[in-house]
Parts: sequence; C-alpha cells; structure tokens
Amino acid sequence: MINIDKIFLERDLKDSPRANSIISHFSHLTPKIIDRYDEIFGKVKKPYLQKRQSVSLFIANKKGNLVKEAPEAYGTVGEKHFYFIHAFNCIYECEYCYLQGYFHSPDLVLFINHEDIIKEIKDVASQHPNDRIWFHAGEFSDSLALTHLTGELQVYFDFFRDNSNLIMELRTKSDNIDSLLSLSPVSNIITSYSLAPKKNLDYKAPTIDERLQAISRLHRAGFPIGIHLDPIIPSKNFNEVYSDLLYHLNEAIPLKEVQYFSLGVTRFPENIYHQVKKNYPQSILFNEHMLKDKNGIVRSPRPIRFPLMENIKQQIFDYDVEKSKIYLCME
Amino acid sequence: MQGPDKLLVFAHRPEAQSFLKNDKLTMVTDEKLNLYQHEDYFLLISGEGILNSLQLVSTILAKFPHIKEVWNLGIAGGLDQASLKLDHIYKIRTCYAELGEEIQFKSYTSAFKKSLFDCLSSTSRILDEKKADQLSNFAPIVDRECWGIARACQEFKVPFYPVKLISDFPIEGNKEICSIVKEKAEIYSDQLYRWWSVNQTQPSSKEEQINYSHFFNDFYFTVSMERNFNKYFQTLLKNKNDCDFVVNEIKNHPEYLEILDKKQTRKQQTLELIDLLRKVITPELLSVESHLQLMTRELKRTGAKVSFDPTLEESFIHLNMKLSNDRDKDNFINALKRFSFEKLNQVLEGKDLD
Repeated sequence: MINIDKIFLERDLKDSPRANSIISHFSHLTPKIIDRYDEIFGKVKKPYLQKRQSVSLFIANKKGNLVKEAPEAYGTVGEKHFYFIHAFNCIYECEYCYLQGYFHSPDLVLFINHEDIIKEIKDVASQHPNDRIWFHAGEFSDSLALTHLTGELQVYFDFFRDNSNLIMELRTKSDNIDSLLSLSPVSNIITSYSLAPKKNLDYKAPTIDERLQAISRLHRAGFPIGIHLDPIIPSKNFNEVYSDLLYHLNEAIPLKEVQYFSLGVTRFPENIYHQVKKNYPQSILFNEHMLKDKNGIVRSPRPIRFPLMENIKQQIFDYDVEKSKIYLCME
Repeated sequence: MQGPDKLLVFAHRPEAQSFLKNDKLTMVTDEKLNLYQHEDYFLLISGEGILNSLQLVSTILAKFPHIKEVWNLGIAGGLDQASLKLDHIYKIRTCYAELGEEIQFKSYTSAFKKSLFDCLSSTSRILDEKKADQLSNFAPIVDRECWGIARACQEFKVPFYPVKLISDFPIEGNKEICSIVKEKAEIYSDQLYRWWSVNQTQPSSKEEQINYSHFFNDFYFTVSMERNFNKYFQTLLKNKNDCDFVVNEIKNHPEYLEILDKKQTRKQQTLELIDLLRKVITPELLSVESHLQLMTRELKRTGAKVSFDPTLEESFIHLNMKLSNDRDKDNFINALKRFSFEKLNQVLEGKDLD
C-alpha cells in the first residue's frame, strides 16, 4: 500500500461523513484544511517517482466537467463512450502508465461528490436517449484499488441498476475486490482487468496471478468481466507468452464468457514518452523501435503492431470467442 | 585553471566558517568572486537569494567545467514541526521555489532522490506563521537559495547535493530570530562541517554515458547524430548483451558496405548508418521497405519519385514526376493502374511480409 504523508481536505467537506470516513483510515494524520485542492495540487512539478516514498492525499469536490466524452476508438465500436472522473492518480506504479506525465504530481486526489457525477451522467444520457452509452471509471485512477476506503461503489451500483440502458466499466488491475463482492452483481456494470504477460513492468500492482484469481472470484460471483490486453509488448517468444496468458485467463474465466476484449500496443503521447524514458531509461519498452505519428503519439509502426494484435485476436478466436467481442484500442 | 571537482556553496560566510578555518582554504585570487579553494573542493559564498546563487553558481560551472558535484550546505527554516527536528540536518530531495508571491511550477530533483524532505526557496525571509503554513503545503523546509543552485546544476548537468540544517521554525512575533540564528552561526557551521566530513562521498548519481561511435571510425558524427547512434546501439546491446556481437552484426550487414561505397556526403552516410541500426533493431521494417520498393518499381521506372507516409501509419502514396509527352503520360497511367492500394494496406498492416 502506498504511504500517505499528508491529507488535505477542502473546507466545504469538513463535516462530510464520506470525507471523515476516508480520513478515519489514517488516524496518525491530521488533515489540513484548504480552500480548494487545485490551489496546491499541480501547482508545482512533483517527481512521479516520489510515490515510492510517499504521496499526499487530497479529498475534494470535483468542479467543472465531471463526465467527458472519450476519444475515438476508446471502447467498443459503434457505441458512445464517456468517462467520469472521481479520482486523480493511482497507488500502483507501472512503467508504461501515462499518468506519470499527465498531472505532474503523483499525489492522490479523491473526489467525493459522486451524486454530482451521477447527475451529470444522467444529463449526458438524456442527450442520447436512443443510444447504448458507456461510462468508464478509471481513466485517471484505478477503479477498485481504494474502494475499501472510498466506499462509492454502492452509489454507482444503485444508479446503474435502475438504468439498464447505460453501461458502466470499472477499469482496474486491483485484487481489492471485497467491496465489490459485498454488492449484488449488475449486468450493466462490467469490471475490466488490464493484463500483460509477466514482464515486471508493474510495480506494487497485483501480479498477474493475483489478478487472475480476482477475475475468477468475481466471475464465480456473477460479475461481468471485460479484459484489456494492454499494453501489448513485443517480445521474441510473443506467441508463446500470450498463448500462456490466455490459457491461464481461460482457467479463471472461460474466454467465451468475457464481455469484451480490447487490444492495444504500447503507446505514449510524445511528452509522456519522454517522461517515461526519464523515469525508466532501461525499460524493455524501449527495446523496440517506435515512431511518432502525425498526432504526436509514439508507438511501434503500424506494420509491426498490427500483426501482434492479429496474432492475439486469432489466439482468442481459438477459444470460440465471437469476433464482435474484440476491439482494437486507439486504432 | 583546473582544480578540485567539487563545489560547496554557502549563502553566508558565517555558515562556512568551520570549513574555511579547519581546512585552511585559500582565496582564489584571480576571480572576482567569493571563491575559496581546498585540495578537495572549491567553496563559494553566494550571498543570500535565489538570483545570486543562480548567477554565481552558473558562472563557476561555466568557468570550471570539470566540476562533477555541487553541494549546498546551510541553515534553513522548518515549516513542519511534526516531521522535522530543530538542529537536525536533512538531505533535500526536490527543490521548489516561490518567486515574489508566485509558486514556481518548475522543480529540480537533487541527487538525494531517496530522501523524504523537500525544500522551497523563497525570495523573502519567512517570519510569520501564516506564510509558513501556506508554504508548508509544498515543502517542509524553506531556504533562500537552493532552487537557484539546483537550476544552475540542471543547466550544466552536474549532480546536486543540497543539505540543510534546521535552525528555526517561524513563529509569529519572533522578530529576533535572525539575530539568534546569527549568534549560533559558529555552532551550525561546526555541525555542517562534521556532517560533511562523514558524508561527503556519495555514490555517483549519474550513469557514465558510453560512446559507441568510435567502433565506426569511417563515419563522421555530429553531436546529435552521435546521440541518436548511441541510443540505437544501446537498444541493440540490451537485446543482444554483447558489444562485439552488435558491432559485427552491423558491419556484416549487406547494407553496411553499400553505405560505405555509396557516393554521398559524410553526413548522409552517417544518417544511413543510423537508419541501418534502426532496421537491425526491427527487422520487420526492412521487409516492409523491400515490399514497398517492389510495389513501386514500375512507377519509378517511369521516372516518378515515390514516397510513403514516413510514420507508416497512413495509406497514401506521394508521387512527384514530370510528364513531357503522351508516351510518358501513358507509361505513367499504366504503372499507376497496376499499383494496388489493397496491397499497400496489407503491407502497412504487416500482412504477408515473409
């Protein structure tokens, strides 16, 4: 677990039961009352790798846009995708994570005005009455890693249970699933796991085996599961490595029963690419040749990455998975 | 003049007095600076303030480019009584700054990456609790120069080791604090000197940059070419783990001799060598390239100059040619008709490359 050295609490939330419940988990720290989290968070460039020692925790209300439209090719094809923001930053440390260059700080921000987020989700949904709309959690944080502290799952489950035309995705690498298992599964809330073969690129995040165990437990309890094979990392024995991963995944959950698979090859916006290089100069991520495309995304050239994704697609099809269940992320 | 490869920076002479006295430093007389010298280190009195320290340390680093380490030793104020102890010495991890009333976004991380303590340099002395409380949101220690020195070190790519002794915690109404600190200067300086005597040797924070271009003496490398070449060479080395093997792999590559034999500028020759390394890292690219060559052979025969999206992301073809008569036109149209975008898409998606 990450070490929290300081808690900052927005003045308006001094008497919030939700905020105080989070704070009660850190009895050794006295929260510092501030007016707004963004008077401090992001005001200075704080090195990402300081998270190895400690980070500050901000408890705040999110203002402005709470729900944002996802970029093209973010999710399943032909459907509308939005993401909502209820936290900034993650307790895990992954070499390929774009958060290391996104906020210029590893500090955690927990937004606790979930009812406002739900209200905005309703507004967005009302603008697309005939569409199946996705709302993704976990764009800027792990959706499950801190749920034992934050306790927001119930709020979202209550809402989505009553709005079955909307779909919520909880993106995670976490095996912190007790809060989730304490709820009854809802068919339109999908817990999706990011998996990559054992390459030692994820520090502090649960191992692949731990993730597979969590997937298995959730599946057995009736929770719908999605899988992100992302980032896909080229290697000499690529075929065997992914064959092995899919074999073990199929043991945790029959692949036919996975709601969807997304495939994505390692990619970075240019500024984040440089940050990753600075933080992990020896990373195996840089063993391959990458090019910057016209949108400023640095990644393996198309003739290299498409065969990789095609290879994995074929391997998934071998488990009788429908073609429509696989999409290529950000392609 | 050459000299020691360490620079110690103090804001005030009283903080440095134990160093000057115990190590019997001599003034560097040909410099119009408060610069002293010992056989192991230079010592600079920078004066108080971010700009002073930035300017003077930059000057010294420009003048003595052989300096390999910069240290800043001095007293500082504590902003967080819960995590700091009075009269204790702390290694500083990251340096922040407030210039005027503005917190600066830019920060500099020192060579003490594993320390837990950050320092904020302020342009004014912090003498009231309210201000101290506000600044403590960013760092638990406040001084007047650390950020300036860190910035100079960053510019000159020299590792920086800041060390601060906590002399006081700003308390409302305690206007005497500066004179109290002044009175204790000798004690503080002794403390810093003792600390330095024990801790002055630090493991190198900088990896030695190895240059591999000397294995390829037939080529001329500009600085940026050398950087690029080394980057690709290191990638190959990571994959193969044997320098001689990598050198031989490149030198035995069929394209290597072609590059050497081709009549072109030396710069162009080196660019092609770098391109060759890139291809050796990702051999699939070679195959893509030869397929594209094959696909455009006919078009090229008509005199057209053909190029593709250099990032290989988009399926387009760029043609440049001069048509002078109907025969040129017919040849070109026929060649163009035989060009297949379906095939181009297949190549760009890495299909059937073998």
